[in-house]
Amino acid sequence: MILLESQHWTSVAPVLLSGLWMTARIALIAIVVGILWGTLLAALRLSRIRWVSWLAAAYVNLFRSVPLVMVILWFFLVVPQLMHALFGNTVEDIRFTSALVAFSLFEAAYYSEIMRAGILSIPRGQFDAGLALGFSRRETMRIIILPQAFRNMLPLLLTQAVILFQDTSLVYVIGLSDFFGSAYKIGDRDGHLVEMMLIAGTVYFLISFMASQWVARLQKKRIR
Amino acid sequence: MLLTVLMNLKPLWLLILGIIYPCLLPVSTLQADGGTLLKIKESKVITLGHRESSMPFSYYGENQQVIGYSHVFALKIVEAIKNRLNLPDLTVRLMPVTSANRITLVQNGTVDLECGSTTNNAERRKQVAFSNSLFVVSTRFMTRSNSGLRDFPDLVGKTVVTTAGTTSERLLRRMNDDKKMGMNIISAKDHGESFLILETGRAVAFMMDDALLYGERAKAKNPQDWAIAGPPVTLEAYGCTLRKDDPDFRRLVNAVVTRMMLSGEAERIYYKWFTSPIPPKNLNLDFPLSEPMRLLYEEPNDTSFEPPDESEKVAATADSTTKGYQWNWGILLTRTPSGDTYLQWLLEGLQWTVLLSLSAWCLALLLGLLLGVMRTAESKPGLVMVAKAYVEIFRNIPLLVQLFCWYFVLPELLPEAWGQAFKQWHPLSQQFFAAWLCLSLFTAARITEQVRTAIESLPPGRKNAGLALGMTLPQVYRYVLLPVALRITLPPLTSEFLNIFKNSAVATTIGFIELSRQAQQLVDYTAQPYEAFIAVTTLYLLINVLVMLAMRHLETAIRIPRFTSGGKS
Amino acid sequence: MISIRNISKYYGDFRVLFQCSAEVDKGEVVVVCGPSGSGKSTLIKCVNALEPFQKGEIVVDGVSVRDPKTNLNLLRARVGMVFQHFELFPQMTVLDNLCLAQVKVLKRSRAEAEEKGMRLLDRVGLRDQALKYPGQISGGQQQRVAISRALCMDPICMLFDEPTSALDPEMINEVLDVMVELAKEGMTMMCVTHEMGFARRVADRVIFMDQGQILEDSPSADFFAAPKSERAVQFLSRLLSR
Repeated sequence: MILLESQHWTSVAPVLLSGLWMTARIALIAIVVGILWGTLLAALRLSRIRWVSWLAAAYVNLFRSVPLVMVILWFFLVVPQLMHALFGNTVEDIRFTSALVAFSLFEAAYYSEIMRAGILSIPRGQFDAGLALGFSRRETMRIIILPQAFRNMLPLLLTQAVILFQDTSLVYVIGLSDFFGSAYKIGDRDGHLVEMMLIAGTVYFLISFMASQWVARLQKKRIR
Repeated sequence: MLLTVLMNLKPLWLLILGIIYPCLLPVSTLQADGGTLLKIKESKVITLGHRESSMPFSYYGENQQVIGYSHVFALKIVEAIKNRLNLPDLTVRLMPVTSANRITLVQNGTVDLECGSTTNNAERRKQVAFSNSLFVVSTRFMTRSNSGLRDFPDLVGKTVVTTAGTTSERLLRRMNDDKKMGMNIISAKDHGESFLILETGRAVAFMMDDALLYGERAKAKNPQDWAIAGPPVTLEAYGCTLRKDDPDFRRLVNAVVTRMMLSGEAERIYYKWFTSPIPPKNLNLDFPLSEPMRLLYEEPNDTSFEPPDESEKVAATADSTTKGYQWNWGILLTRTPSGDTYLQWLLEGLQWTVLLSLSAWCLALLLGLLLGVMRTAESKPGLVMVAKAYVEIFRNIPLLVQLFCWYFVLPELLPEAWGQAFKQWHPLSQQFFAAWLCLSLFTAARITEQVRTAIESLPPGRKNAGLALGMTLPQVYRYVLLPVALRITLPPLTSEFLNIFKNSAVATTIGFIELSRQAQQLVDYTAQPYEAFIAVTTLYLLINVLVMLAMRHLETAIRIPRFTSGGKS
Repeated sequence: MISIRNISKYYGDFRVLFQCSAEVDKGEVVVVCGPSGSGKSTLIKCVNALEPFQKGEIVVDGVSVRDPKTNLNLLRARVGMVFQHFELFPQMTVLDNLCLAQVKVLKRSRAEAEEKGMRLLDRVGLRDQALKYPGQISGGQQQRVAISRALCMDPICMLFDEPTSALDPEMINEVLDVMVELAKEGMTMMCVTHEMGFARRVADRVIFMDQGQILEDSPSADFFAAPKSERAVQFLSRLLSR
């Protein structure tokens, strides 16, 4: 195996770093949007109006049955038209935008399932207690149920975030240069594919491992 | 139901509609009334589609700079647009495209002009327009200079290699059948491998587009050892693609191409890219100007060299000149170039997806059970550590990275002889093996955790009760703990089982012909992306429903009477 | 039969058992009692090595428990044990619960095991429940099944770990009756229990434990008439005043 020389590193590092930045941006935005939209979906699913809950369930089940790769490809097909319709021609990088949309909408389905389980895990008595104190249904939900559910679900939400971070590597299929994409391209170009893949694997491992250890510690602390 | 938060429905509604509606009706294409030129004029931006590694047509040189023969034309066209619209500071945005999405991106307005190595054919012309041809390639073959093989009839009874999934492959197979040539055909996974097979003597000829053959030859240790032979009979034309029904823009593009060819500028560009050293490694393709190319330069045109029957079919459908996307579900039943229908392609993909998932599931389940048991064997800290480490490693590296490691890295790290032996396998076997190993090991880590959780959720006395009866630890696991633990794991195992199906789509990245790969292939060949994607999505949904039904059935069948979860009895 | 010699057990720094010694002779019934957390369950689990201990030795029928050469499975197969939470195997019928270890450990034939199982079920009055699953019968019935499951192995002695404390009060007696009968037949028994009525009726000796130590080991008549330690006095008065 050829060891990478230091001069080589100075040319490679900036590319990898900008790839990592791309990965981070997609992951962070998708986590935030995914949780917000996922919470809303969970609430919709628990709605008493039949067709509303049905629609939300259909959304969640649809996204959960289709491979992420397909979802990314789908949105790469659909988003450019949407963007054009909504913003004219001002979008900078269509691949980035469509990856963002795909990940946000896809992860929302998973987050909504976590949130729904969290909401259902709160005993009914809590809801009754809220109503008995004179809160409206919506206030009870917002002030009493959701905060508890959110706290219960925090470890799972974070674990899902780690999975999402790893899944962002799949933007490879639309050629976006995230961390993995950059590593692959450099490796392919310079004939150092083996080294670059191992480096990429190590970096992903270190980040995910530290994050999941942190989540585990958080969980342990909460149980105590 | 317990909760209702729908006091204020309207905004939610709009949001849902906003998301779902465009998904359902994505195809109101953007044939801006004034066409591409007006759009460019208004936005002051032009988006050029380019390839990332289509040497020497359009590819990355050093520092991710797009270069290549076709790209020079693209830049000339941009110059002409600047002059025409009087926009000296026009922004040029570069968008890398792949063979699976280039047509769609042009068609849906993401890319204004794509100049790479896109073959002009009837199916694509239904979705996009082609400029005058930039290049004409012909299918020929490479052989050792001293082999004495000069023409196709010389190949009778010989072993010939070609690259899987290319037009040349289809052509070669058809030729073999039609003319009863009795050739032994090897399909390699990429051009590099095809050449390797030729170089190592396992095939006497490598059949491919001449431009690519010259490219491979340039990379050889001694290019003089290799000759390109066979008369240029079957031709294909590469053109730039642009949106359909935009005569103004097409006229401008064609004018540029024509002027460059007639003025001799094109030929100079040709010599620069095909007969001189080019970046990034300063290879010289040494590809003399072919007869069809000379004719093209003398008389620029957009002939597509298709067999007449294909052109007729186009003529029949060409009158549908309505703007926007042309829905055509019939495409699934249309014959592919290789003779079956496109639906058969999808079904073949489905078959591979199912085969891959099921076989990966078997190994994953076995390994997951084993590791899950090891993980709970507190009396053996060594085993616990091994299982723990396994789970952490396989859970914290993205599936895609793992796949690339098995596919690209493993053969390099194995002892040389093994690695070489692996690379000699049929490419499909290599891809299948790597994907199978990857999916199995990845899923095993997740199953391990499920099994561990289930075993740990059993009351600790259960294990003691078994031991107190004199059973050995393996017996206790076998008869007492696992039967209950597995019942508890069944719902999470079901979702892991579904996951393995979904994750198998990742194998598309190494070119394995599973379902989502076939969808992309279909898009590449037919340029009907929506039909292909909807069909494949439906197939995935179908798999899901079937698995869920089967699992529900299983769950009822093995339910323990009056038994609920693993809590205290 | 069972000889506990000076054993100590620690979880890290925490002392669970400290220099406990006791003897149970053949045919003797010994009751172990004490406040919760006193280490009595741990002690009884040490006897068939379900809990490891760091110091001392336990010898059961001439076999040392801590000796690495001892075949623990063989030893456990000869020592019957009944648990607080019954620990029947929920995925098997009652009869299968009784047969499993006979077939897998003692290598009896299935028919032989079933016959033995049915005979013992008959003895505890549960013959007609043989084909039900544990989840389908009451707690008292489950504990009786658990006792017959242990008896199926023809044990040389029986260990009871609070066999009645997970039961509803009205079911306690049906289990105690079985245990009394067993004692009368001359089975060697070591029982951790709070049932002082049972102790008074059948126990030969009572061992009183507190904070991991054996504070008192005396014939049951003496123990109930005049407990020696202050702790035992408190313990008994609290139980009686309940």
